[in-house]
Amino acid sequence: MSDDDASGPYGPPDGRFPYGPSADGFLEEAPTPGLAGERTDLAWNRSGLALLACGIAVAKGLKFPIEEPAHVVIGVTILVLGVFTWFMGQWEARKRRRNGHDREVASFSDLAPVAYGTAAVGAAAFVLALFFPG
Amino acid sequence: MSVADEQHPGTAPGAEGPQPPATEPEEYEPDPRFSYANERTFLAWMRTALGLITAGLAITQLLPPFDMPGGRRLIGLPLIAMGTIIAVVSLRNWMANERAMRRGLPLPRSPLPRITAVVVTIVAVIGVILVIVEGKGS
Repeated sequence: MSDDDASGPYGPPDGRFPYGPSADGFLEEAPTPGLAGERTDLAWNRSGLALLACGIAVAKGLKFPIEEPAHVVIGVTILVLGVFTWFMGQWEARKRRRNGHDREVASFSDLAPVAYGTAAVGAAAFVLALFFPG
Repeated sequence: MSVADEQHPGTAPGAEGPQPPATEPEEYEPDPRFSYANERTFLAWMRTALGLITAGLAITQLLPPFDMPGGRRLIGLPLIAMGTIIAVVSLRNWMANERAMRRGLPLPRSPLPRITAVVVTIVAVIGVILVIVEGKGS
């Protein structure tokens, strides 16, 4: 993704910044992220926790009427995805703190495993719910 | 590209005369607050997807069966499918938003909120009908 690792100078070349409150929609100075980075860290934490809770619920709660413990396999997979998501959040938070500024943002390769992992869990859940209703 | 070729929001495209055919649009770092908001929106969609998948699994696996055969799957499977679709589409939305911000373009519109609302509404209506029918039967 060349779009995501553009490392040019911050802001447009005329030295101003888009989407500001001035009349033409530009800021004269660089905006400071403030607490936006911290909110994003917390959103990563929530997402990881949601996956962990879902994984435990699937592994311990659901009873599929099939011999092999498929629900345990799916639950543990979701748990692994949750741990991965939590650590990915820590990685993003570390990027944010690096170099003494708050301007590092996530890349496609950071988010894609979380999205495709959740989609894979959904696909497995669909197959199980379709063919093995409890 | 020279500075005169730059396109910013608020300047009319082609105002300085015909543009050379650009192979790659000029990009710059957007306000990081907006990138973070985009990232949080993606994560919120992921939690929504996970909630839909979990709800669909609980409906099909834990709920006592309806009298109508396949009643639980009728309301559970659309939720699981919706969650799976959201997981993939929200990643594409995040990418499209990020690209639009980097190029100073308007944010693209996404059909995902509307589709989610319609699917959840339909499932809720079917659920209400199932509960009413089952209540009469017992």
